[in-house]
Amino acid sequence: MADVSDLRKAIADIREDAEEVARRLLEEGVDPVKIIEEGVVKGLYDLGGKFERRQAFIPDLVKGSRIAKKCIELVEKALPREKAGAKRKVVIGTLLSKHNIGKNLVSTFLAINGFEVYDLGENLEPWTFYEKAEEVGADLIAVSIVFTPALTKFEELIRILKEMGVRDKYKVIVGGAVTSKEWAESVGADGWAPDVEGAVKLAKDLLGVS
Amino acid sequence: MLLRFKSQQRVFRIADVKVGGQPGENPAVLVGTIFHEGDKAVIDPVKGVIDKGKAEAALLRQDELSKSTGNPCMVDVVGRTGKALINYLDFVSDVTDAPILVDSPSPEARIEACRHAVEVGLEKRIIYNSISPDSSLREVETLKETGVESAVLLAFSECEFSPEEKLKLLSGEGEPLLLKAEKAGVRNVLVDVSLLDVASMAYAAESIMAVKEALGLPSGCSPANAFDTWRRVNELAPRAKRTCLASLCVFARCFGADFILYGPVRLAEAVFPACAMADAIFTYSLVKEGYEPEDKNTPLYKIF
Repeated sequence: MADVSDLRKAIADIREDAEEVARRLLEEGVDPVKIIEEGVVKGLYDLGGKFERRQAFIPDLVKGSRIAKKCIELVEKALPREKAGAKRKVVIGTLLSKHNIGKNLVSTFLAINGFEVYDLGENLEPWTFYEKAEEVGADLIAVSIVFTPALTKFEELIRILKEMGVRDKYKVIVGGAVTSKEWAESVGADGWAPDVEGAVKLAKDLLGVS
Repeated sequence: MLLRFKSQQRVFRIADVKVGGQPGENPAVLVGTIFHEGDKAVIDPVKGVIDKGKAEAALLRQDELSKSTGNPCMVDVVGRTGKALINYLDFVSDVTDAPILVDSPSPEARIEACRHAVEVGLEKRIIYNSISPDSSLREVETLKETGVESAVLLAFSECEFSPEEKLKLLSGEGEPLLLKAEKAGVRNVLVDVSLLDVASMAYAAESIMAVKEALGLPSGCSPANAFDTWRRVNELAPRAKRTCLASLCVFARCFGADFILYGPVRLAEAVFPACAMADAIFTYSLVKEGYEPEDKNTPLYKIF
């Protein structure tokens, strides 16, 4: 009989059979929320811990994230409907560059923490964030920046939101390799996070989600 | 013999630089980058205003090191806008005879600069950097119109790093990179297998060998960006950063890299002697078996 800790370990060890472990847990009747929270999320945190301790490397994070996403897609289908309801909506994407590792991890973690995530992808212009946020009625816009020229693009996004008269409709958060808390505050972001865990906590705090 | 691929290796000549072949035959081409984000020689990255004195000194030093070691060089010129890139190309092509990689995060800027380069007669010297899995059909068709003959093929997937995946990106189903290159009218291709951090050189080295073995194409990588993710390197020992960057380039060379984008051109002094030493050893591994280098302008006969 499989245990949720097996899934946690499979993800932390970046094993391709994690999805199979998740499937077995579902078949054995384990609560899907528990599978996600104690298996997938904790496994990813363990992997993140390995990265912090320099026992895992960027390709491992990317691979772990991909494996975790497969597990989440599988388990999400079994989630009770009420869990899917009344979600706060987040529009997320990478401004200007093609890098998506951090953004993907934040996207995954927001989704498994109960947010309805609209991942716009990479290489985006500010206007795309505004348009999508309006279209889906977002509560929060999350922007990943890993390329210095995108810093001015973020300021452009804030300007667009103000000019369109919707700045107060959205909480806007930012993070990424070339950003800092001081810079984020200076350009009018509602918050900045240094890592995935921080981003999820920030989103929850800003939207009053427990 | 240290390393030999079973498949026949393609060798391309770009301007006067030969790239590709069996390890030991043609020395690694070392590519220094200039006018990238954070380069102190850049005064206005939008208009392309530069400190010409600083930039010229760095480029000439790379040329000198190339001459003294026997490792050919190229220059990767990065520009944010088409206007900036054109200004940079005009400047660099006046200072050095080395082939030039036309590099920008913006495909429009790259195309605009390539069009200009062909107009001013640089078509044999420029290399489009790069055709990637994200390159659109429009980009490929426009590139063909420019008449550019050489391009880097960036075999990069953000989800998969394995050698098998690199080969799929190059010649698998759908719109693989080699098909895009053909559609773009590109004859000389350099495969950049890409890497994300220093540890992932493990994937890159395996991928270089896989690409050379399966396709026989000149292959290499860009350790520079990955190297910048290693923030602790200077805590290890004074000057560890330069030494380790040079070692990372040598590591790539030992697994068959035909070209290496080693980072800012100012780092040439660290990289050229180290790579030349590796190349000399590779050439000697052939010489001791009876091979006679066609070109005596090779590290084995220049650096000792």
